[in-house]
Amino acid sequence: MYYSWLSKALKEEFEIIKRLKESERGTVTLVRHRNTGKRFILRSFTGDAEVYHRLLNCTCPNLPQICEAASQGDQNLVLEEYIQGDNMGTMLQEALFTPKETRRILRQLCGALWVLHSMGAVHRDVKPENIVLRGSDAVLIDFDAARIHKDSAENDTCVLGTIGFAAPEQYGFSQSDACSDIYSLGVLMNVMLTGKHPSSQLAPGRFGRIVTRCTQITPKKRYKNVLRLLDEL
Amino acid sequence: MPEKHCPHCGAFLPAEASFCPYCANILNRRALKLPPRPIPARLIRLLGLFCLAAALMAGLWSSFRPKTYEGAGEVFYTDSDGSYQLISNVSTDRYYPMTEIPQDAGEQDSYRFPLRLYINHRDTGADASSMFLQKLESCELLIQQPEDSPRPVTASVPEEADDYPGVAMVSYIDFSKLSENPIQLTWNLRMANQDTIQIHSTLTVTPIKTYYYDASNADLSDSKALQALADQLAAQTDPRDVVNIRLPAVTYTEPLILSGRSFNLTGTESEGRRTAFAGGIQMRAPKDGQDWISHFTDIDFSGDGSGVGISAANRVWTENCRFTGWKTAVLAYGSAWVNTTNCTFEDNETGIYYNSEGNSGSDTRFTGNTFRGNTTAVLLERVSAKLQMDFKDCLFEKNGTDIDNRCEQPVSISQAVFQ
Repeated sequence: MYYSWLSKALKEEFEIIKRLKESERGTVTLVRHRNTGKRFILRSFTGDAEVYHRLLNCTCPNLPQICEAASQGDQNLVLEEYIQGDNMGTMLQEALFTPKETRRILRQLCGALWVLHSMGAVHRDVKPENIVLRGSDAVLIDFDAARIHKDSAENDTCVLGTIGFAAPEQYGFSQSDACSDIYSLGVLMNVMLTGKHPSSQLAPGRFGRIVTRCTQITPKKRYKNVLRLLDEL
Repeated sequence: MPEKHCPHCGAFLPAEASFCPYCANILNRRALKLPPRPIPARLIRLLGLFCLAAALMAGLWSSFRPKTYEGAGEVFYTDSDGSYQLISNVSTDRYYPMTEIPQDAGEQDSYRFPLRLYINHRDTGADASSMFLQKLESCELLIQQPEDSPRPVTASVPEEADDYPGVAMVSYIDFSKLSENPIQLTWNLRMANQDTIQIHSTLTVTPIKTYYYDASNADLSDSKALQALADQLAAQTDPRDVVNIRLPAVTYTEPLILSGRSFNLTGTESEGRRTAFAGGIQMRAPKDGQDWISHFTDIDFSGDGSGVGISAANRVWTENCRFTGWKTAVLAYGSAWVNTTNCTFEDNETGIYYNSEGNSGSDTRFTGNTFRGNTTAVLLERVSAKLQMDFKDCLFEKNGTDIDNRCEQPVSISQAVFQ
């Protein structure tokens, strides 16, 4: 019932600026509030929106604020903060990050992932295109691939994530958990420093060692959690 | 559908709304979530290493730290070489630990006894003194006693006991009847490996009664009277009491027979005459273990070429006495031990004749004596204890035989003079 009410209210009070993404699962649209001019991201999709519902009660400088979420059956409607900044994917096409920048950004992403992991969620799609640099803050966006980790599930029910950044277990070896995001952070770190996947060129020195540990095939050999990685950084 | 008002714009909203689509404001309270500051893994590793090192150090310290061994009367000590039994006592029995050492004290200014330390192999019981002493760094005799004791007990510095065969260390303990109980004597041994061994014995001093007799309060005029007094005292006094008799300067012609207790006889000199015994003194064997030393001082024993000056079957100490003209001046027999110091033995067939057995000795001192013109000055047939008899400052002059040591008794003559 609330879903219908929200859907109607959004149509009345907001206007579409741009369709950002469209897939079988749904659409991602940049919208603007008519009265205030504020811009938001409106997600309409089918599937699991539990992560968004959990994020309604908290705020983190490195995650977009989820303003509203409503579900009706398999249909979901999510209104989230629009993060204005530079997309890391675009930036990496032009230049690499210095070790100091890399370290600062990775620490912030660890903080963002800690928020997700602490509520039992896994992002499952950590990659440059899902990171927006807003001033000095790195913001991790797009929880479309995110899921709540369930102890009883043996492996992931469907393949999500981005090839190259997704951990092996996300392809069905075992259920993805916080270690999957640590794998992706490792790949991301290597790409920020070298522009390449660690299997092609490993970052030199201490960063290389951290990347190696993050990207172990066996999840148990990776950092136990993002706090350990944060400490190492 | 329940409704609520937007706190920002007042619009009606469903109760479950977290966001007002009319004014684009968040409605619910959001908790700011930031990761906790983790304890640095390096610090955890350092702490872990520190704890491990501390545990290791504690283990090593526990294994190798110097240990203290303590006991009453005896202590069993084990080191890398073996196990030892250390015993403190005043006995010649090397296996007899004494937690309590009772001592009686009379009127003398000071009494002394040697406190002995025996060291036995625990398994075999054999004397382990020599091996053990090589590992000993220091040895002291500690005394714990009331601070206000009128006459504090003292102890000599412990030394290796050459005079006491089989004894590892000896310390001489001096006390008097004024020494106040309780008194704890402690052998404090520090080993080269820093182990400490403490063996405690409790000394209890019991003051005893002293009787004084002289010509003013007793009939000491002749042998008969003296014998009567001695018999009476033997019958009526506690053997632990002290009897001091100051004899007048008379010559007692009949043998004086002493038994049942100890007597301290002191001679006097008057008008050129000294107290003398022409018939000698017979000291009978102890009864019921009563073997206190009888002291004979400043007395002449004048024989006629036959007989025995002092025949002692109990312990006697003669001091500043003169023995002349006896077949045997001093005879120690039975289990007796007789000391003579600063005495003169002259023109006797035998000066001192030891023919005793047993296992008890009073003192090693036979010092300051003069042996002159005797057929045999000292004849050691059998001696009741293998103590080294010390003839320091003795003069042997014109004797037929100075020392006839038939039983090969340890004697020290290094500071004696033979002429």
